[in-house]
Amino acid sequence: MFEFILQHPLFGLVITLVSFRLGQIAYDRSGKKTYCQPVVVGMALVILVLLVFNIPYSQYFESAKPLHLLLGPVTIALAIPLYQNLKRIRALLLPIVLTVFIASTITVGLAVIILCVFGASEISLLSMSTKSITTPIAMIVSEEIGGLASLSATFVMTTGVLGAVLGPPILDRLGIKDDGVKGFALGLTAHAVGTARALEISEECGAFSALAMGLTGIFTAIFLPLIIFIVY
Amino acid sequence: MLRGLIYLILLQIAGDTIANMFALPIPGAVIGMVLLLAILIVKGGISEPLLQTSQTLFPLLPLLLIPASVGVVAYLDLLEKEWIGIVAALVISLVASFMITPFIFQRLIQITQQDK
Repeated sequence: MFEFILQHPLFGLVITLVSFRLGQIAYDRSGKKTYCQPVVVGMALVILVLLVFNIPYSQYFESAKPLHLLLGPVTIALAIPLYQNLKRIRALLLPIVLTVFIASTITVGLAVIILCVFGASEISLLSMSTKSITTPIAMIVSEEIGGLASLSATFVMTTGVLGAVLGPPILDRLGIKDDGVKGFALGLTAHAVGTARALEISEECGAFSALAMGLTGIFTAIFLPLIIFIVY
Repeated sequence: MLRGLIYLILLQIAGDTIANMFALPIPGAVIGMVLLLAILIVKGGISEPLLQTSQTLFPLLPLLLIPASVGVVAYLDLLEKEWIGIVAALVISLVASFMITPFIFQRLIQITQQDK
């Protein structure tokens, strides 16, 4: 009977929903502590269940896939806060594009250099170079440059979760009060997870985050394969 | 709610189709986002069903990210071997990014506004 429950096609879906719900409760009870983000607690609980019951990731993912499939349509809806903040975005177009160019080059370069110093394998290096862009773009680009798409997805999601947890306290410590600037840093560094966090701060913060996420993704998709091609 | 969701899914399919037809390395969702933004600009406003759907779905965005994030479990072996370097690379570049991005962005805003 127990096996039957674990094998049920809805099992992965329901543990994800329950884990996220528990994450929300923990977040509210903790007085909204950043390290208690529902996505962090939810992810940790799901991993715990998979390890304890020895469920392969592919079997879990098959069941939880409906949630994953909705990610695209919800990402598209980010055009709404983008539209609502169009006036400010238009006024800042040049700084926006230049910042994406400079900041994402520095961030990715730094991550790759640190990995090199620690003597990581080539596959880790290549897969790391897509860490700051949204999962679907990261997976496509990673394959294109010879990395592992699923390993890239892992780095991307870890970066996103870390960014959602560490980003807002760092930005507060730096005394950044402008929601547009905060959102921009969140989206550029922590893509969709950062944007989900930014939407909790304000609509404007979410809009700038979505914009930075989209631009960083497109920028990386175009330039990273070129850079790798030149280096190798 | 349902009407808005239908629009969003259709935009996703349209985006994926465009990416596939022109072999673009850009995901369908990003193309769909640009399409929706273009539609909103042309129409000059956001329709009620779309606004409602987005307000319902945005709080659930973190939930939708969990299935992909859990993929970490498939790489526990590799992570065990190289974890120090990986953690150092992820954390240091992340903290650096949060420190330099606002600085660069604010400086560039100042510079471009001085020109005007």
